[in-house]
Amino acid sequence: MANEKRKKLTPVQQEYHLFEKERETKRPIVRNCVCAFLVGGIICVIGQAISYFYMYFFDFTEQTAGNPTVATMVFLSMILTGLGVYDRIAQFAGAGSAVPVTGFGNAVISAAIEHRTEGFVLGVGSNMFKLAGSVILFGTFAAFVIALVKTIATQWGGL
Amino acid sequence: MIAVGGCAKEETEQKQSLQGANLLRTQTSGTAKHAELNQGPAERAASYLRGRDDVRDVVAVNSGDRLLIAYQIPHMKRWSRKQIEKDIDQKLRDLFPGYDVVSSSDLKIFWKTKELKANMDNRRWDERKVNREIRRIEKLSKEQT
Repeated sequence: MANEKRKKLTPVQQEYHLFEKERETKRPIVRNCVCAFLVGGIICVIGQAISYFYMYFFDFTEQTAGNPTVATMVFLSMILTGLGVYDRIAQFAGAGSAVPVTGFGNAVISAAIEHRTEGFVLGVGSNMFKLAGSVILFGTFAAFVIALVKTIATQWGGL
Repeated sequence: MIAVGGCAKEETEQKQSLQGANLLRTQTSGTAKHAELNQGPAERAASYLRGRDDVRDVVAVNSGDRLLIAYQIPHMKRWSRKQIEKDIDQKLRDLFPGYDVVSSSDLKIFWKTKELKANMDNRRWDERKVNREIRRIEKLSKEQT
């Protein structure tokens, strides 16, 4: 808690805050980072292997193999989410499974499963992109900002 | 399964290419020297590129007024891939003004050019077939989607 906010607390609240701080379960940050790194890395290796598969067996170049690779990865994560496997991976890997593009497939399908009892139109249809919607919005916005920075850097920055 | 299947049938030369080094250990020229077509320009282009430190492996073929060059950029230098590609393309166009130069750092183009060169080396393909394959690779290198 920020110092500014802590000053506003009553002595009893401050005492409780210290009491809580001593007893709360510590987050294993290093372990979480290692797990995320390993699982995220494995997902990327699988993605790279799929990319080489498309390049080797079909007429895709390094540049064009990206689209079918992303589609395949998202599709696989959707299947795994439906089977309940991806949830277990996510419990272990945390951000390692959420940050790659497979996390997008997981966000779509998990929301659809969660709201299926509300019906196909108002349940699944309207809630499917509840989580994934923000991924699309901020992903598009981030891409725009990065493209803007790159354009400025290359046009006027001499890069 | 897909991931394993993707790697299962790779030929030795492609494995070497993925690993990076020693691609041209068995054939040091990097051009289809023994083919019926004169590979002088391709040989010169390959030796020029091999001298650059931002190029790892090179393979080049030429037929008629077409010169096809595929090369690999070292992994850590791929940050400035576009710039290297632009520079190499410009240099090759200056070096071979009478040729329609097609250069690419794409791995698929590299594999295809390597395959074409091997077929030319073994004298399996005639000029018409080579030209057709070069045109096909050129079209593939310009593919955007």
